[in-house]
Amino acid sequence: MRFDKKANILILALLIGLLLSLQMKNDAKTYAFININTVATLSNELDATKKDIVGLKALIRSSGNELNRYEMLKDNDEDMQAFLRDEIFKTKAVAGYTNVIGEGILVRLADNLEETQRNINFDLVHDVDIAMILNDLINSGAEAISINGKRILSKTEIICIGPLIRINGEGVGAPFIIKAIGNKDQLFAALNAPHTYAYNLRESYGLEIETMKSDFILIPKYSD
Amino acid sequence: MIFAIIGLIIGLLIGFVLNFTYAATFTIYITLIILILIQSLLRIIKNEDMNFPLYKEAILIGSEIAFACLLAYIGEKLGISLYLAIVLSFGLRIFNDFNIIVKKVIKYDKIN
Repeated sequence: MRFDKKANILILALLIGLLLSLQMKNDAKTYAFININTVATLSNELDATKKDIVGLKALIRSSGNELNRYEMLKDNDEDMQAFLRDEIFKTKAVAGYTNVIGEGILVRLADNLEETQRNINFDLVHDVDIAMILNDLINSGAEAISINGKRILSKTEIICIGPLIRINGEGVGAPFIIKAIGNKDQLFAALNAPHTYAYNLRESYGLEIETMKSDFILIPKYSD
Repeated sequence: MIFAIIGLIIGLLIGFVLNFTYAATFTIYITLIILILIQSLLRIIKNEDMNFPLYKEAILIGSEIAFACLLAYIGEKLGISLYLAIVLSFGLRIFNDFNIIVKKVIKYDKIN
């Protein structure tokens, strides 16, 4: 019976040694045990990366199409010139360096001229108000916007400089005439629908905001 | 005791000489098996006066290993670290047994 005990101990120790050495050799240091949160995070990252890959593939396709178009045009000089002129015109139009004509709306923004007992700041048109209204207009599809004849570009600033507002490096005073080209009904709704920013300014603060739809509006190009 | 040390050394030597590796997913199971084996070894050393035949020990340890692996597998499938329960329980037992063995060796119960 004594033999069994010794054999048991020997076999167990042998197995332990074998497995321990195997485990040590297997170098598990590079692997970490992860919990369910880490798995979720990693799978989210994987999904995002997969989406990125799809987007990049679409970019490759569109770039390839453009390249093909250039390849087709490069043999014929006249075609190339016409194409490039067209591209220049389009780029200028987007950048705001051309006059734009179309349907749209006119907005007149002025300070509250009535005598009130409250803080004077509630009766003035501020740079923030202009910026918010501009964003509302852009959000509802305005293609070109000007404020008192100053074309709004991608780099245009709208900053309070005391009694005036600085737009394209020049001071502009109230009343402000905002012209916007786009779908006139949508633009009109962006300023007159209940609880829009302009609606609150008019109804709660008493600022003068008049909106007019028009079928023919000219917005001048940007001039230095 | 001597047999245990001899077996450990031989096993380590064989393991290092053998050129055998396994996938990283089995690491948990191998760790559990090592833990169970260590516990069984200590248990047998602890029960000096009791002698069980080989096949009975084999069945006991085998069933323990099988159940622990099953539990760890279920835990992995469910996303819970269920193997920690096994590690905890066997770790406790290992410490208990080790404590008893050390007490026997130094004759802790006797005052002199």
